[in-house]
Amino acid sequence: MLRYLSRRLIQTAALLLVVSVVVFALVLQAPGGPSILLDRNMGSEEIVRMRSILGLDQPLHVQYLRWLGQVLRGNLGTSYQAGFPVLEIIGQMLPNTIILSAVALLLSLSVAIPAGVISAARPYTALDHIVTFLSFFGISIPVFWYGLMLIVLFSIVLGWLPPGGMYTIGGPRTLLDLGHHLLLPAVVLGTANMALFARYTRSSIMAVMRQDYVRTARSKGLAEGVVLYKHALRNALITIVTVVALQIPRLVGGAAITETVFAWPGMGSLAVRAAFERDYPMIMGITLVISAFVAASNLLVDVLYVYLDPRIRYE
Amino acid sequence: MGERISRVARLMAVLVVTGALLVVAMGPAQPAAAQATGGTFTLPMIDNARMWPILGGLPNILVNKVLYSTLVKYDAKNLAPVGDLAERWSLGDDRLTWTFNLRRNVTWHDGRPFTARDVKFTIERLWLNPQVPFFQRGNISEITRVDIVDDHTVRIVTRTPFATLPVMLGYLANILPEHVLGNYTIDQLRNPVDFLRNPVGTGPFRYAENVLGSHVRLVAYDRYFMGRPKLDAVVFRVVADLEQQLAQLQTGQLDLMIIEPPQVPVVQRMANVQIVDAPQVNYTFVGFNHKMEPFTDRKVRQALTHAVDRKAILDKIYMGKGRIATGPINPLVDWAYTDKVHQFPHNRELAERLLEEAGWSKGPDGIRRKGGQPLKITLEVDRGNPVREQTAVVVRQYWKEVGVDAEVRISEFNALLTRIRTRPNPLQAWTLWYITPPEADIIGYYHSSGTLNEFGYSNAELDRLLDQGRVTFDLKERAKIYQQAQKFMAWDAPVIFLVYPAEVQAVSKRVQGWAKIGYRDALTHMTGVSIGR
Repeated sequence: MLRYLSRRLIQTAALLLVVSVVVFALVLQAPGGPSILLDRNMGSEEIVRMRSILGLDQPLHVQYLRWLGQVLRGNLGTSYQAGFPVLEIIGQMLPNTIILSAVALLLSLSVAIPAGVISAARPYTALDHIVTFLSFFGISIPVFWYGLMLIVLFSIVLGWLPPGGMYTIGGPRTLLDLGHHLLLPAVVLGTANMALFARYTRSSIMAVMRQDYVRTARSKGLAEGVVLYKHALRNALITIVTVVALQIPRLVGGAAITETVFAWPGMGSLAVRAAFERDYPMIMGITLVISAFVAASNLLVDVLYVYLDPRIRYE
Repeated sequence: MGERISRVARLMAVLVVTGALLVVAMGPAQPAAAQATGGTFTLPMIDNARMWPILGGLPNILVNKVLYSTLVKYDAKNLAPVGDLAERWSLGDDRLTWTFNLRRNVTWHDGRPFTARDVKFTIERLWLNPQVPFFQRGNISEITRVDIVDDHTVRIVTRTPFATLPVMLGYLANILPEHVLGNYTIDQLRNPVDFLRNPVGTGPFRYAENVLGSHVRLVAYDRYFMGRPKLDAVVFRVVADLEQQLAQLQTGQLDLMIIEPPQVPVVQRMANVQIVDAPQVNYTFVGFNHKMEPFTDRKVRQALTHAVDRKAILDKIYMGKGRIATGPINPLVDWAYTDKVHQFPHNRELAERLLEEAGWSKGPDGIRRKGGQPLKITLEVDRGNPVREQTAVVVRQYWKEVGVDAEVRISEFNALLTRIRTRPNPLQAWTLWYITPPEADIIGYYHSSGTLNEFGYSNAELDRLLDQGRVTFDLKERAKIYQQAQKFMAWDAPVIFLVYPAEVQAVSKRVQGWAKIGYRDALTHMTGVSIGR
């Protein structure tokens, strides 16, 4: 196990290195340069000076090695735009993104599983068709449009909820205030997953319902509800858990569009702005942190399998 | 077995309860202002601000306007230079030495007094220091040194006579605290992270908090030298998305946003918002690359200008918000501006005749040729700004009408500007804008040695006039020189001067006392602004 772990760790490190090389090359080759150099009234001499201070006049490989050297010393550099260390900015954005993504995930599960079960229990009835229709609607609806429509309805027409942001500025940061700001983006972010999870729940329950043990349960004379919830759903949940687990790395990456539409101060909107502004250290930092998180969670899952399933052994 | 099933049930229960909690949390939302204790003025910025005026970027520039002060600022009516940190100034007989008398009652936000040492430090250690990149250095690079006369008097010495010094000292030239930054190393001065955590200025509002990705909040500084501002706070919210800005404006979370003419009808329907057409010192243009054929030929440039109906562009695309530009000097600089120059009314026949005279004659396909070469022009524009994009498309059409094989290329602003600044500049023509100091001195943009001369324009006659204007101090004399320069430029048509666009501000009706000028300048007149109920 120890040998396996160390091998995997080396593989992970190599993978992150490859990812960083590729992203670095792509980002620095993108047309245009950092926004801080693009002030319309900034003279050519100052631009040259600034580029040299930022090291942008160096060949690409020199810039990369410099960046890598910093990273190995635990320093992801300084954001061109905000002037603060990249790690510090990510540290402030990450919790906000996790709050939004986690609530969206819970929201989608709490709707999707009952909906999927109902749909599966009465397949091909009107109810099932409605759930199916809504699911496809939820999967296909463009996030930015959906977000705007909710803003128009709940913020502008009804005036119930603020259109964006995370807290009321200048007021106390209460849970209630957070809830107000969180609801719309969480609903938007949760909807696509909601639809996806409902479809998975429906199909996996329907597959399970054809299994022998379900027939046995029914022939024992158990009520349909008991069969459905006690016997079928439990087994069907294995699929759901896998699908949900695959979404977990996205908790960290944030949702670029939803966060931007609702001005949510998270990783997604940060990444979008960093990309537009060619904030190279910021883009690299975000990529590295997200890749590290994905790699770590994959490793964790593989290790957990050993404990969960005695048949799995790593040599 | 039974226990495991109940675990599933428990999970379901948790999910349901979470859902219910969220529903409970969904009570009526309170508008942002209701919770503020007094007046808070809130405006958007597209990203985090850095609060370090040595570097540019619009969010940074906006916040620094209220956090810091300058030696000189601009009058809210005619943008003439008036005292800010400096009470008055005078020029010595050598025409190189300026004496600035500083206000005596100014304190930094940490309570320490502002003195001449701060001025000397800011100019010599930051602006003029070649190891620190100051994004506006081009404006003040004529300064050679600063001498402290006493705590409240400095002498600023320039290399050559520099008539525009007071104006330039008001343009993005914030004074920084020597007592905080004096011991910083060069590396720290390039990016003072510690200072950014608690920036200290002399402006009407002091730093309160910077929540990254969310907002910067500044609160009224009780000991501000012009008296405590009426407002309690100014908040800059990070809102990158324009639709979100509009929504926040309508719901009262924002008090101001800058809109584009196409958004005017949407904002007009908002009962709580008024539209202010604020003049600012700017112009939009179609630039030519003077290092390339056929733009070296004045007749071609004149023809391309006559071909374009700028009146129609102003009326239809800018929705009338602005006036037709006659040159690079904005009418707000009223002592120097003149419209008694060669005008370029839309005149297709004249445009065609000028092209004929320049040797470009129409082929059978309607495209003009000279020496077998077709007259092919690619007009470039940045993506995302509806006014500029539409302008490019319309100009292409006008040019096609006179036999130019014109096309439009749209690219991201970032990429476009980087290409324009490549040497040699690979572009033929592009449409962009300039926001400039309220000054007639345009050396930087059109002098052959200008550091901002992206057109590669070079004309000895104009160089002479601009050099002369810079060293002439008598306002009447200066006005004459710049009127000559405008006349010359209008005839020479180095670029197509399109429009002096008004900045279209959508301002909450609760806001009182807001100066009706471009918001960069209006932000330096915040002490009288208040928020009604």
